[in-house]
Amino acid sequence: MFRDFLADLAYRLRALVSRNSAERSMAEEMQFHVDRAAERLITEGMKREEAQRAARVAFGGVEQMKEAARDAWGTRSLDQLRRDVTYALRLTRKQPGFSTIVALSLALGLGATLTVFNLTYNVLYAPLALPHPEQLVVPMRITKPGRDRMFSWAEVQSLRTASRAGVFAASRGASSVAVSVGERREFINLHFVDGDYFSVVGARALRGRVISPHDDAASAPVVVLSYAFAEQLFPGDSAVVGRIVSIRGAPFSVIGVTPKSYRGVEYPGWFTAAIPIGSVSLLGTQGAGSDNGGIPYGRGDDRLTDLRAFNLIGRVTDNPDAARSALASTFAQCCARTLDGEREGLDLVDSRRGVPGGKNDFRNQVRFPLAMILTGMVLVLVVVCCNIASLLLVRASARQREIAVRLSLGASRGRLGWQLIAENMPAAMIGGVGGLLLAAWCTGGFVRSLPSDWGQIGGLLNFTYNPVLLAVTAGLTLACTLAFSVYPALRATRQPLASALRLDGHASRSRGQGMTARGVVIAQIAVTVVLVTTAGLLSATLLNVARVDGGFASDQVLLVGIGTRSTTYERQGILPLVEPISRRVEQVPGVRSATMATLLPLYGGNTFFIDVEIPGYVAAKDESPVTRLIATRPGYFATSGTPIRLGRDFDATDVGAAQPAVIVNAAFVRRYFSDRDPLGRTFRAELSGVRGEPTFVRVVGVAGDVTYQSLKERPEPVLYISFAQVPGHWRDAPLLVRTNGPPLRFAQTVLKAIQSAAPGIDARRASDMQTQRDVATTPDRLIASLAVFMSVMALLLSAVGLYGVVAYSVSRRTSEIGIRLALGAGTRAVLWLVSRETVWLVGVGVIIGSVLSVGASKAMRSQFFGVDAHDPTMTIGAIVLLAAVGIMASSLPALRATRIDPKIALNAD
Amino acid sequence: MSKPRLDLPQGTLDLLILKALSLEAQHGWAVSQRIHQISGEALTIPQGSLYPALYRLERQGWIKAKWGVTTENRRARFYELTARGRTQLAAEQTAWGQLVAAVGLVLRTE
Repeated sequence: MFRDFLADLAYRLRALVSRNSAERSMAEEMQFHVDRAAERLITEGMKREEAQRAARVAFGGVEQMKEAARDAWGTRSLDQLRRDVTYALRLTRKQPGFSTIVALSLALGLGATLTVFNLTYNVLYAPLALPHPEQLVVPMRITKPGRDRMFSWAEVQSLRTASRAGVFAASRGASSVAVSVGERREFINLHFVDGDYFSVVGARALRGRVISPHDDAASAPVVVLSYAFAEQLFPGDSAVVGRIVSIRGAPFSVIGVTPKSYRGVEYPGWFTAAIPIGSVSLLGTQGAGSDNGGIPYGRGDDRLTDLRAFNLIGRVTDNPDAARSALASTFAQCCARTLDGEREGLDLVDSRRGVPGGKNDFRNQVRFPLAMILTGMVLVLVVVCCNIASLLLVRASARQREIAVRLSLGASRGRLGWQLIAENMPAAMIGGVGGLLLAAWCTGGFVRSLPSDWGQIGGLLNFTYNPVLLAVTAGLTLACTLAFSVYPALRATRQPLASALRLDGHASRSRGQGMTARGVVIAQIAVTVVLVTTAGLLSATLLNVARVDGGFASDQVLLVGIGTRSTTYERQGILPLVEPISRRVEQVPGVRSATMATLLPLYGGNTFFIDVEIPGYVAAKDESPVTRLIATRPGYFATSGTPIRLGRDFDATDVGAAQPAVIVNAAFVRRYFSDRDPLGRTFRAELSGVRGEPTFVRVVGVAGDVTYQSLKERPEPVLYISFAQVPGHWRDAPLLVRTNGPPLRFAQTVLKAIQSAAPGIDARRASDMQTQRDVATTPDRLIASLAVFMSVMALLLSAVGLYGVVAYSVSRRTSEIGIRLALGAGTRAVLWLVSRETVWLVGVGVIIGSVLSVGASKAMRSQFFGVDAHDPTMTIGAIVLLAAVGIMASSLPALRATRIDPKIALNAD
Repeated sequence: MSKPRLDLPQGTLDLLILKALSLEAQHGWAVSQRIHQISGEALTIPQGSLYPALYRLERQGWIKAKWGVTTENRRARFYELTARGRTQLAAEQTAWGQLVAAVGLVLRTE
């Protein structure tokens, strides 16, 4: 079978290569045949010339036979491909304008689509850059509240020894660990890994080696650094292996650096450095009562406790289902507990795209917006294809006679149609490559435009020419080429020959062809209405979000993060430093006031929620009344610009063991006090975490609502309490400074003042509130600007499409208009004759578009803020906009129509 | 120039050509003449399909062609059966025999 195929191919290729000699040989052979036939006729008594003619007639059309013979040779398809390509290239060179338009609009459409596709792919679908990422799994504990991946060391040991189906390794992390080299000190997320970790994950060292079982067993003071972190610690130094870094004051020697592509297995994965789990004890212990936030060295080595502090990662080479059930049954025997009547379970979670569900895993938030934008881009691409298709229809009608002549000379329809498609290939390929380059350029610009806080995500988004992207580019280019060229090619070759050949065949054929071009324009307009409406709603959303007050001052506010982890203050916590730092910073010239709190709006800090018991409040079923808890100091509200609506601020009397005074926000009053005056009321608050026991607290004030995480959030109950009455161990608290003048200008002096108040403290991330607002609105801004970009493109394309169709019909009806003018039709009548078309095209388009917009905005309701998805204003705006574009697009050809000179028009054909 | 008295059933042309070539190598004209004569002038090869059929058979590897000289000392392209062509001819002849027998059987049945 295969040999036959090869022989066949060889024959075809030989025939193709030696095509000229084969054609000569064929001609000679056929001539021989005709000569014999003629001789026969002569012997039968016919005259020579007559015999030769008769023989030729009997033989039939030599050219047709040659075509049939070429078919039999099998060279035809190859041969024609070569000829089509040559022809297409010649045509492309001959009509550079047309080809440029095709290539350019395709490049634009593809560039936009590929940019978004690349982002989507990298964020949602790209597998980890590790060998066989599909084998990576993470065991997760299934409990009533949800899944988590924390296991105690005993559980880790049981699961590891029991699982024959795969290999598993343990690790854990710690945040804000000080790593220093000389004067340089960085606070990082440090990984603690067991000896098998790197081999299970499949990460190798770019330089040196990774952590081995021996390192772990020996509790060796060794560390593996990420490429970026090594660069940060030892700038411009490639001989890093063997150097000594200090981790929390203990010397560790660098044994290896991971490759640039290694991000770790978490999503989005910001691996920085790893040391053996066994080396934990080298890091020293921290003060008592410091178990908030999972510091591993808090009480020494957690392998000796039952604290669930460890993560597992596994590699299952075959049959994940068997591995899952084996591990689940082991877990059920060794470790599962029963909580609230529910037995814990175990699941293996696919982690080929990074361990899902981590703190920074933002995939679920962006999945919908990305899908939405990608859909929009594909719609733009459809509009692009529509446009090119209508251009081709127009051009095909200009070439109608050429095509008709070729058809009547015996060219087959398929042959001609294929050629019409192939003609567009060179331009399409240029468009595809251009689109890819454009996407690379756009992605670069996009990544650079991200706020600096997003820097690490930027690395995730970087443009790479990966096989998936290249395949999608090729596929989309081909799909577009077929989409815009197949129909025009079919149409062009379906001409009734007689009318096409007639020199004035206009009337008979303009209708059908015009209908298609019009259908294409109507589709474009409908899609544009949808895009414009959506862009309008998203822009309104952005404006609304940007206008949100948030309940705090945004001008002249400087923010600094201050932490005690890995510093000499670690044992005592931030509390004793709150007053000294705030007071010292207030002495900086140009600073109006400064204050600290455990959480600052849009900047972050500690997120605490505590239970409250409010007398008279009846909780709904399954609801336990909770509130956010924020500790701060007197003067905070004046400094942050949050109004106190009722009662008073904290003052010097709110200290010590006295009944704590609290200030609640308006949302708290609405929910728990049914909007009645809460001043002087007391209730129980679960403050044992920060005070040692649940305590009754007394409301002394009501503050305005503040949005903490995002400007779009609905205010939730907040309970403010003074630092002076919650002596608990707070590790960090951000600083808020009001300045006279641009806040960032004071950053350096403020950081210096902090260091002079508390030498060696971890103070960083200086920012201003305006920046934080920008960061908070970045997703809205991105989506809105992309939507606007898409709709502007769609509008332009629709205008071009409309112009094309109207111009085409004017050119088709030149003689008709000439006759009308000659018979005395006025300018206005002619204008109407031409514009009527635009009116109904736009009319039908916007009606379809409006209906589609309703569905589209309904589907996207979750992305809107402060706008009503059913608000018809945007659709009406879109309709008006399209009407204006329609008038502009058609005015040129319409005016041209009125200037037609009847004499010339009637003589035109 | 005689008109064909019988229409050639679909697919039989290849068989006839292979058969005509089974005795000796021949050029295209001779193939058509031979079939015409042997069939008692009942069959005429449609001239337009002869050469495409020859090229097709050549591509399939059942016949091969080379230039030679005729008895009248004229240059002509001669086709001859290959080994695979002989096998093919035998197979097609058997199939044809079976087909004719089967069709005859059906037609004889009243």
